[in-house]
Amino acid sequence: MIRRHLRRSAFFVLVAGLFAWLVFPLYYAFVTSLRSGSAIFRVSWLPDGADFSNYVRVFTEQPFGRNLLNSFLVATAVVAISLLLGVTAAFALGRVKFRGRGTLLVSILAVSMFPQVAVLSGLFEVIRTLRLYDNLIGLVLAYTLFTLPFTVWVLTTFMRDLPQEIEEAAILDGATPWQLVTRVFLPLLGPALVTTGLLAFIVAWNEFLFALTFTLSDRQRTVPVAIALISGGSQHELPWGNIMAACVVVTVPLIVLVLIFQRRLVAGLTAGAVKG
Amino acid sequence: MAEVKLEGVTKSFGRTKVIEGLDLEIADGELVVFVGPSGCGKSTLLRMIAGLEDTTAGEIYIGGRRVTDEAPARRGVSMVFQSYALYPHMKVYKNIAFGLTLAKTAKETIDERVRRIARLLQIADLLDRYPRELSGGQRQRVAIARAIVREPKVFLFDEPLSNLDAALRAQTRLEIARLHRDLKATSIYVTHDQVEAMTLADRMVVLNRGKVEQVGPPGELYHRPQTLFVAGFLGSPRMNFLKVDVADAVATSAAGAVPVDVKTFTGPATLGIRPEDLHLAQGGTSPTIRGEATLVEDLGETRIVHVQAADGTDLAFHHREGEPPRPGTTVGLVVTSNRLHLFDADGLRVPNT
Repeated sequence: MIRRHLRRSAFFVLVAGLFAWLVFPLYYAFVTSLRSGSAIFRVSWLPDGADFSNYVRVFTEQPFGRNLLNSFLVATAVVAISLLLGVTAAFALGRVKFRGRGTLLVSILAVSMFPQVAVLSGLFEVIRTLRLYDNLIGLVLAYTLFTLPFTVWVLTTFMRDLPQEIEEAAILDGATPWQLVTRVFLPLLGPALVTTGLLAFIVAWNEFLFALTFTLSDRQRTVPVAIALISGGSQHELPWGNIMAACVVVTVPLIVLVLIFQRRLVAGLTAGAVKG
Repeated sequence: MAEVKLEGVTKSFGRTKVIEGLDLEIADGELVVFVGPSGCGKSTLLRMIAGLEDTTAGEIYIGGRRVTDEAPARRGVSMVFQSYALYPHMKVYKNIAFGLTLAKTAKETIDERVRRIARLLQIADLLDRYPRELSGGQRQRVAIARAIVREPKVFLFDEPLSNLDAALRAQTRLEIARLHRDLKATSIYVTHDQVEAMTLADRMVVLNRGKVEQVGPPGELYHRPQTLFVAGFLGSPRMNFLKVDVADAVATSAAGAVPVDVKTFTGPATLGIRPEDLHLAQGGTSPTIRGEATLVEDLGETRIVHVQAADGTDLAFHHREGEPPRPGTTVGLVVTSNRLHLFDADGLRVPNT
């Protein structure tokens, strides 16, 4: 009896510790964002007063709203393109037998193994040739290159696990390949789509290096770069308050998204176990 | 009219030929059952008729039209799958209606047909449920409804009952028989269960290694098997086979001598005796086969007695009345002489003369 209580409370302590470890940075950013002036540099763990002036300044001193919109547009486009190409590719790779399928899958995976920096200069040339420098479409292109491999892989795995007989039933019902994908497979892939879509969104939302390299003007910047480039009155002053406020603002959409799709996300992790 | 005709149909995967030069004609409204051991090519053949597998060589005709290279949906066939293969994300109504929706049938027509067929299959009150909320038997009905609603020329059943438990299987089997009687649609039914095959079939096609062993009504296949394979495949317990030498209308083995109705045949052969045609020699009758009883299985309505014949062959026979022989005792057996089967060295039936 006592042992069980002991084990349960140990487990609880472990979970609480993990939770604190994960949430503390965000918490501290939030607390800091509510302070101003020299209060920021005093180490204190509890919030003291609520001063929202940092938030106001983030939006007034630079086109931060515009940056948020940019990030949102880019991430949404990346998700849409990745899922569209991912689902169609997964259909071919998961359901159609053809020579070289395994090789193709491995090479798709290989693409994602190059570090970003390695392809940066090459990609820069591509973007310039396509006249997409300082253009959001350039970012969409660059991010899609990195989200596609895992999207294709995850969706292929899910697609392959769908029962063969359902596909055959649909074929006998007169479904064209496109109808098969959109009306039978897509609804069944729902959880997988949510999972991969969310991951792609987070990747695109947080990406920094490409966004820094491929954009120039304030109005084309995405949020991570905008935050990094927030500057204070002089060269030696870093406006921590503003930066922290901006960080909190960018984190909120992700949290909201995850909360909205939470149920389907969990379903996605166990989806393979449910048979039609 | 929707007769099905197969001409020299062949299927090979790489070098292995799964089905070899198969000819078969199925009349309009007939229910034909393909039976055979697993790997005999029966499912492959069905899937070729459905169009889910390519035909390597030969031609397939449905209703007089050559469909060998047609897309599955354009052949006018529908199929009931072993695992039901319902669309898990659609309610029963949409599952049944899906094919019609894709064919852009008018909404009222769809509604009318779906509801009529749901009533026919007694699933009218399940239309608003998802497949996961149904029992196995109900799912199978939905699958059948989905196949019927498109009013195909030919129904294909791919082992539709093997996922159901025994009681439900017997019940659903009766329903399929009733449905076929009502709809009079040409049907092809694949199973490895010989009870299903015997009870449902107008004609049975016994397949073995991609070739047709025999085609005919169940009774004919049971009582006059043309090959050793068919004789051994149908019937449970299976037919007893004795290695014999035939001369002067007597089949002789170390276990005994049995007179047979074959005057002209001489040489080595296999004598087939159904378990119900083998009896204990009683009273004055002199036994024709001798052996030692090894095991008695009591099934209630009958007992199956296993005997090791004097030449080492294992035999089984039905024993319904009186005391069964005790294991270890010597028994004498007699046969119903006008129901014997004789097969030559190639496994082909020797006709009575």
